[in-house]
This record gives sequence, structure tokens and C-alpha cells, in this order.
Amino acid sequence: MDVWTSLLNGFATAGTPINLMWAFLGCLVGTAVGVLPGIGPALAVAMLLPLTAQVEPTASMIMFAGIYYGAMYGGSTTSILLNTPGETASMVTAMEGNLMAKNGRAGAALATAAIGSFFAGTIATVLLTLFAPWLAEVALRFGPPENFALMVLAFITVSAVLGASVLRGMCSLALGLAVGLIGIDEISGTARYTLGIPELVDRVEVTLMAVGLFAVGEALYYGLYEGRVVETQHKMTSLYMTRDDWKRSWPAWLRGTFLGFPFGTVPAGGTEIPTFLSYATEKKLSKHKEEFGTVGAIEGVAGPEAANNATAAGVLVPLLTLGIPTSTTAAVLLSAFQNYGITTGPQLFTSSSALVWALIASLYIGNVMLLVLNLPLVGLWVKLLKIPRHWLYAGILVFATVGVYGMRQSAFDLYLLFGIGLLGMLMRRFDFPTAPVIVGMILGPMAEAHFRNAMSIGEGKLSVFIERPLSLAVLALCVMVIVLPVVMRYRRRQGDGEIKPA
Amino acid sequence: MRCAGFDKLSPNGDGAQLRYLANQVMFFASESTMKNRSFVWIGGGTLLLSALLAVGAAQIKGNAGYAGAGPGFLPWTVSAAMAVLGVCLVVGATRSHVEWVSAPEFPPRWRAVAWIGAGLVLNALLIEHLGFICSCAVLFAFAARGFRVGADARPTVRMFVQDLFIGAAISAPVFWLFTKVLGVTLPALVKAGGWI
Repeated sequence: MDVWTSLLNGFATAGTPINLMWAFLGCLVGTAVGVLPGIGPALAVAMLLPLTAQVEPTASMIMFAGIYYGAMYGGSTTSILLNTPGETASMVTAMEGNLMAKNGRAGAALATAAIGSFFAGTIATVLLTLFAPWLAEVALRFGPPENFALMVLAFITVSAVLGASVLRGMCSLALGLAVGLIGIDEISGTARYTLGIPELVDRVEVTLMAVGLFAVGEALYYGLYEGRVVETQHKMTSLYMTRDDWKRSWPAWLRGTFLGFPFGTVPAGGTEIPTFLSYATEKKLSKHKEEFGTVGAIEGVAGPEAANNATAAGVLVPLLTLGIPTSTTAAVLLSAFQNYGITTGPQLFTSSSALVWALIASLYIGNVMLLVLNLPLVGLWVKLLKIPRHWLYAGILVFATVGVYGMRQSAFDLYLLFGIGLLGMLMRRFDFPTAPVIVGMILGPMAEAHFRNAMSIGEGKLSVFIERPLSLAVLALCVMVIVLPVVMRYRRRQGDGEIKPA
Repeated sequence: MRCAGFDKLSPNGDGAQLRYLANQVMFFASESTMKNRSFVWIGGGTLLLSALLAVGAAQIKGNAGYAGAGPGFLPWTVSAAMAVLGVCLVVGATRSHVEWVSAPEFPPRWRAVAWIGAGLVLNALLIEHLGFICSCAVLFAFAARGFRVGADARPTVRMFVQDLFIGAAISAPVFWLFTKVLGVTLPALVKAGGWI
């Protein structure tokens, strides 16, 4: 079946009233989650994972995808209007967006962000449609050694490339892998680290870990340190974009899209790098350099925001074709697939083709819904920012209870939730990234299975990983990713150590 | 060098000498480890966790078979990796002269965490006895009080009671939505699918 027939079938599935309702619900929740500080899409999807026991897979995946895209739209609203950016993804948008808002151009900044998100989101979804089935077909030929190598690459990029320190990222990853070890070993059926507690035999739930680290950890950190930070909110202004604004925005959107999408697709997840690159590009190419860092330049909002959304779509490529998550939200989405017993990986496009194409079609639909939800209705979303923080965070804890208790009906998990929350608080304080923990615990057991299967193929010899060209190439890339920054830093220090001390 | 120092200082007497040395030691200690002392502790914790993982790994039975990697393989690997990372943390933190993570703008307010934590523990204790709505109302009120404490507000008893009602007003529709519409199981006060 060719791509267009499949896509049309997908639209037929996603276009039924009930599925449109799920998509709308997802977009609504996603935008709210993006706007509200303290919650992100990964957390929202994790909290809603108990639904996988009741709602049919297509419906819930459509909703989750809506949340994922919606949060990208909503995030920009907060980062432009508040002086504290909501999510890391919108950190760069906040730089110029805040300045524009300070100078009475909040409306134009919000408009270029929303339209740019739509533009980038749609183009990136087209690229996903064209690219993913092809990649899935290629990936069908991958064996366990290749899959293992790709997963190692994902581990390394998530923990070493993102974040402030390789060492701390690796610590987080090791913690995630250790948590992933708890429970029954998939291949041999041996119980590991269960300490005789029956709750631990069927693994630590992803919901528990994600909600503990993101919701409870964040809430405790807020109570401990951030309650006294004074927040200022900029005034909303008209959304009207002048002719000049349009002229300056669209090339930035385009560049942002083509910068962001590839970064999402390679297992080098995270939106920080592409958004920042887009910002740097726009600053370099702009004819209005004097506006950067002073009154706020519109291309400095348009580019990164487009890059941000294009990356989000790009992340779905390795998720759907290889079963490799490169961001926290993707990892939580993967565990949603697992809850349904759907095997992810290249066979997803053949075995669950109806589901995948409905999901992709719903991304197109969701983008349109989100544009409508976010452009004319932005005033409504801004009102969400008026909720007093003490009620907002207390409310988040109530929802955390729903997610964690709803998953397994165990009060034991609620005690664990507090413990994991304390851990999350400490990690936040000492700047240990949390994404590697989640990716490690979900991907760890899968990587282990691939490793052991590969070892079986190689009859117990590690050489199986370097005898196959693709797995060798990927593993070489892993080494490069770690070694290159160290070498570059060393050479820079050698070069102008005296002039510019670290 | 040390001898020369001693010679020069000897006229001042033993007490002063010792005080001087102590000051020197304190100075070096504060210069080299004070900045990242927390990370030394974290590194220690990582090493402890690595040891615990190793103890657990030793108990895993299972045969590697002809693959050469059995169920014990990854546990040993993770334990070893953690040991290396723990040593790196301890050594790095002791030797680094730069502060790795700067302290937040405000000093910690543990009283806020105590209130929020109390809410969470009470919730875990009560949820199966009082049901979701009542238990979450308690969580909401305690947590809101904690966040107010953290934000330098002066929470009153009236606010607390008010928060209890707001908590119930939020939890109730959430409870109905998730149990009645979406089919998620949450505990009720009235057993077997009650509305409260």
C-alpha cells in the first residue's frame, strides 16, 4: 500500500467524531499543560497512562499526540508573557519574546509563535509522513546488534549531549538503568532486585517515576526555593502582525523548520540545540541586528519556535520507526504502546499500520485545531496564568495521585511517590537531568534484550557488534559524541588558554 | 617548607602555632572542597548504591548460556558504571575549584517541604479509608499551606479550612470524570463505586 492510500485511511480513522473529540481533548489539555508553569507534556501523558487500561489504543494515542503537540504551542505563550520560561523547549523563545512583550509587542510575538508553530508543525508532519515509512522499511533489516547500537546512541545523546555536565547526565542514566532492572528479567524470567516485595516484581511503573520526578519533585523544589521569586507578567496586546512582521517571520519559520526536523529524527533528541542554533542563525542573518537583546526581534521568536515544533515532530520518526525515544515525552509515549502490548520498532508500520496512520493523520488535524485554539483564544489561556501558584501546585499533586493510584491501586506507590519526589527535588537542586532517568528505565530493558540476543547470535563474542558495518558505524558515532567535545575543549584551552581563562 | 614554617613560628608558642596550622588546614579545606561538598556526598551515595546493586547482582541466579551474558550481566555493568561515576564525582568535586551548581536565589525553606510532605504521606495513609475525594482534599489543604509558607505568605486557619473545601471541590469532579467516564479505578468512601 502506498503512502497516500495509507494516509487517507488514517484520515478516515482519525476523522470519526469520537476520534476528533479525543484529538480536541488532547489539544486542549496539551495547550493548558504548556501554558501552566510546573507541568509539561511528559508529565501530562504519564498522569494519563492509567487510561490505557480502558480506552482503546487509537483513541488514547491520538489524544497523547494532541497533548504532545499542544504543549509546544502553549509553552510559547508562557515564555513570552512571563519572565520565567515554562519549559526548556521555549527557553530560547523567551529571550526575544520577553523583550518584545516588554516593549508592548506581546501580541505580535504570540502570533508569530503560533503561526510559526503551525507552519513548522505541518511541514514537519509532511516530512514525517514521507520519511517514516521509508525508514521503517530500512530498519526492518536491522538485527539485534544494530538495534542495540542505536539504543546506546540514544542513551549517550540523551545523557551526555543535553544538560550541563556529562558526568551528571551519566549518573542520571545509570540511575534510570538501575530502576529499569527491578522486576522480572524478560529473557530468563529471573526476578531481580525485588527485595521480596510483590509490588516490585512487575517493575516500577513509568507513571510513578515520571510523576514523582516531574510533578512532586518540581512541586517540592518550588516550595523549598522558588516561592519567593517575584514573577512579572507582561500585558497582552493586539495579535496583529504588520506586513514587515510577516516578511521577517516567514523565512525564519522555514529555516527553523529545516533546522529542527533533522535534529529530532537523529537520536540526538532534545530541542535545546536546534532552537539555539536557529536563534543564532536568525541573529546572524537579520537585517535588524540592533533589535536583538534590546527591543526584541521578531525573527528571534519565529525561528526558534518553528525549530521547536519541527523537532517535536522529528522525534516521532525514531519513536515510530525504530522504537527509540529521544525525549522524555517520546519515552512516555513508548511506554503507552507497551501498556497496550504493542511491539514498537520497525514492524509497527506493518503490524499496527491503522493505528500509526491514524496517529499521523491526527497530527495534521491537531495542528489546525491548535492554531485555532491558540490564536484567537490566546486571551483565555493567558487567564490560566492568574491561578495562584499555591493552588496550582496543590492541584498538580491531586492529579499526580490520580495517575499513580489509578495505575496500580496501591497506597504503597503513594509513599514511593513522596520518596521519588524528594529525589527529584535534590536532582533539580544539583542540576542532575531527569530525562535520562526516564529514558534509561524504559529503554534499558529493551537494550538489554537486544544486547543478549545479539550476543546469542555472535555465540558469546562481543565482536558481533563490530563485525556488522552499521552497528560498528553507530557505535563509532557514540564514541565520537563523547570524545569530540572533550577534545574540542582541550584544544580550545591549548589554543587561547592564556587569553581567555575558563 | 613545613619545617621552615615551624622554625619561623616557634617564638609565638605552641598554641598560636597550632591555631595557625589549623587555620591553614581549614583554609585549604574550604578552598578545595567547600564549593562542591554536596557533590562529594552525592558521589558517596552513588558508591553506596553501586555496592547495593552489586550485592543484589550477586544473588541473581541464572546461567549466561552460550550467549555469554545472562540475567546478571546488566546488573553488574550498571553497578560497575555507578562505582566509576561515584569515584569521578568524589574526586572531581574535591579537586574542582569552581562551584558546579550555584545556589538558588533564596535559602531553602524546609518548613514548606514539611507541610507538603505531610500532605503526601497523609494522602497515602488515608486514601483507602476515606476515599479519593476526602483524602485529596486533605492533601490539597496541606500542600497549599506548604506552598504559601514557601511564598512568604502567612497562612491562617481560615485559609486552611477554605483550602480543604477548594480541594474537595477540585477532587470531586476529577474523581467522577476518571471513575465514571474514563473507567479508572480510584477508591471511594462508600464502597463499590460510590459517588463520594
